Amino acid sequence: MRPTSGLNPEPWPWPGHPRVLVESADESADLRLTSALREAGYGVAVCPGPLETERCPLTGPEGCAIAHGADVVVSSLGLERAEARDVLQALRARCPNVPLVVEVGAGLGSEWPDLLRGCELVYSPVGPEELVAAVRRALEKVS
Amino acid sequence: MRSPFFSESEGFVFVLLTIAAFAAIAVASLLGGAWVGVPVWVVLTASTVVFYARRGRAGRRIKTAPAHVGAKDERRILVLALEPVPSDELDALQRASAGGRTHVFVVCPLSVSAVQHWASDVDGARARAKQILDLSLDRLRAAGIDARGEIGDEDPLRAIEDALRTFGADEIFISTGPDEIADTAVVGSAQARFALPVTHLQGRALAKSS
Repeated sequence: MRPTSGLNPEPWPWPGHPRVLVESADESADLRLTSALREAGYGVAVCPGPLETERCPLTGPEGCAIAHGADVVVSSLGLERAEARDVLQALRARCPNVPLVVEVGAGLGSEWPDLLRGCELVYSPVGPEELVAAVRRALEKVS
Repeated sequence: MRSPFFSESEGFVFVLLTIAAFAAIAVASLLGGAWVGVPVWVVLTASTVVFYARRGRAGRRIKTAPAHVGAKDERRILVLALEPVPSDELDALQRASAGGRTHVFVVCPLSVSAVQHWASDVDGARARAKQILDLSLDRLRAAGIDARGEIGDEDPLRAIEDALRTFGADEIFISTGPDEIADTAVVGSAQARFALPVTHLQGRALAKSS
């Protein structure tokens, strides 16, 4: 039997590049978007967000090392879900210096003004180039 | 003191469910007496414990990948050779490495048992890993794919991670034997951990020397 380390990888094992955390439950879109971000020179982590009985540690007492270590967070969990809004709220509260790129449905950009204030918005379905441009803009804001 | 709940809405739901549970216990006790209320209480308490225990164990499915290394037209392919790269499965690798500048790096993890690990008896495992590595490199080169490689950590996922740190990769190939369940599980683990395309090459296992 080959020994394999469990599913708790180091938060960011790849030093030397800006780190982008993509929160997305859409696995088919993940590889396309992460590939574009990687090509643009970003280290990437992809988190599917809270699922069924599992809750996002970011909204609990333990916090999330990956989110805390990210240079940009892309939230693409669908703000129609209360859990996704809880995660975004927690991100804003716990990682106030991390710029946020939020994917919102068409026409929903003004739906949650307090929650989305200061966030870089992209509208679904977001394309790879569009996402890379939004991440660049978000990083420029804090540099 | 921090709230044990993940969000305010979860705390609110918990309060409502607690009220419902106590109501169910009270109703059961009123209708059937105290000895009917007790099993209701036991079942509800056990359900709550199981729910929170399962939720606590749920692992995070977070995948990571390093930034692309090299020029835009460069492509880097990492091959984890648990068994020699199969000659009849080279098409996928040839397709992946066609066009542009492609670099292929083969990493072959040591396969040692727990006893061998604690006894530091890794010479046999190292010789076998070297054999798998050399055979894989020979087959790749014979197919016109320029490749280099090294022996890696005994934990295949760590071996991939180490190689990604230094070499970087846009795609991962994992070659295994035909029936090695443990090796095949490595493919699933790599797909769960790395945000990169992972392709399984299934071939023949290298005969094990004594």
